[in-house]
Amino acid sequence: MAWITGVGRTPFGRQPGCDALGWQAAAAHAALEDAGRLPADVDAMLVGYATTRNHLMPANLLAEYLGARPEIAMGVSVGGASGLAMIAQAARLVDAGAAHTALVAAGEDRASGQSRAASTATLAQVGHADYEVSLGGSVPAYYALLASAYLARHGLDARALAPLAVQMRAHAAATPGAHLREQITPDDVRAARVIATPLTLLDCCPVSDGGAAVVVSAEPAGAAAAVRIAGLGQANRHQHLIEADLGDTGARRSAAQALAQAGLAIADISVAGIYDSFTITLAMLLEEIGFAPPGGAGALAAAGEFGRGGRLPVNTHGGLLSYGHCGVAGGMAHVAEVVTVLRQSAPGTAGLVHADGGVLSAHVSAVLRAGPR
Amino acid sequence: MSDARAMDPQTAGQDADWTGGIPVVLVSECGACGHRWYITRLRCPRCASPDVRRRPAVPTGTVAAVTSVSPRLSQDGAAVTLALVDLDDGIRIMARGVPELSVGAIVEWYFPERDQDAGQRPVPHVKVVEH
Repeated sequence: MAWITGVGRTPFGRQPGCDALGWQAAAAHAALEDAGRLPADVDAMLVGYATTRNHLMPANLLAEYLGARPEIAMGVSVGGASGLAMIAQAARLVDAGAAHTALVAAGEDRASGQSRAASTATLAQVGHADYEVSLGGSVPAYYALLASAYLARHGLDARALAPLAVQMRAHAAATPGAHLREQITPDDVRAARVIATPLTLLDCCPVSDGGAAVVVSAEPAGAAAAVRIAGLGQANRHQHLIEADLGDTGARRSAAQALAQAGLAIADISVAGIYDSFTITLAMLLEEIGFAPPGGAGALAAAGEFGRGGRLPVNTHGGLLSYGHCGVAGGMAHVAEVVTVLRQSAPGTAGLVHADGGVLSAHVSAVLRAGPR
Repeated sequence: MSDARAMDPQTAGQDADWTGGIPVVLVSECGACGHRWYITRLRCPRCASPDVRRRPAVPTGTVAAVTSVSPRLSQDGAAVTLALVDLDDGIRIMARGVPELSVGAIVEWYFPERDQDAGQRPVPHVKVVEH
């Protein structure tokens, strides 16, 4: 299968002065440099949408800017899953022999390029325009509804999710470029202002500016150890909350497909990057994938199991909750992190990255394995 | 056997429910396989039959999830409580409620007359059924 030979991740945060294309280009140059490749080497370009630009042809726009003339160019929109979906598609193009060096990029001035109200209104459109948005729906409200159902189903109170936010912040504290690095406690999470019950501000990711990019190649390249894409899985089972099966959102199916393709079991995974737009997102994904028992993700986080030295380090850069979230690039930051960890690990070490888009609507999983040094 | 009306994307599914200003929650039912659903669709999402029938949904259901949203998040600055309600018809709707609503409560949908009197588009609300 294909290799990840380069990753680029800019600092995330409120960083005015650079537009979406600028963030994409900064991340793309970093990833190409990491892979020891030039823009002219790129024969497939996949670029995620930016809500602040809304261009019809994001891949062509970035290709021209970089000086690349790829044979294949496409933009992708599956919400927060777009980055991993593009990496999966790039790997399939490489495996099929249709591309040799694929560049996947995303970036956005999501924090400083628009008002908070505009950002909230744009994102709310993942809900049903007539049957959800018109009632006052928004992304935090949709995930708060998921949290409400989750806590009731497992007989937990809102405090149960707080350790996940605390762990992500602890990771971010040691990560240069993270948006939020001030340490927090479970009490801080509960005492923060309410966004949508039971979620407070600290249960929600920040809105950031930044970019991320990945180079997918037919063979290892670059100075750092290459990482093999060993398995891929995807599932798309609903768009809207009112149509979702909350016990089978697609996360398990997607991850199981990726693990099966890699010939691995969940116990073989040593490091994970799991989409964490809200604490409830992380809890539901960890549990449905099988990294935590039903209702148990928060307790495992409180016990340190998802820390750097824990049983399964999760989002060691701080995740969306603390490294930050600038749209499509937010989910790709998890890929950059897992690749970086695997490059320092023994050959064969396995990691799993999972992203979701919408309201647990689109799922993509990738199993990555450390290659030879 | 095709139903010309259901095949026409300009008219199919246009029976007026609350999204069209008529204060009623409609359920769609497939005449071929019996599947029921909520959102407007040209055809059955299970068997693709164009034989789609719409009727008022049963009023009662169970609260599956509830959230009270900060006024800062709404366009008009108003605090709103949203609930997911599993109607006894087998469909899930989103509705407005009161903050005291809890998961598992038995409720029924209704459309407040005050909203219609004020000329606002009606949206479904739910209230706890008295025993």
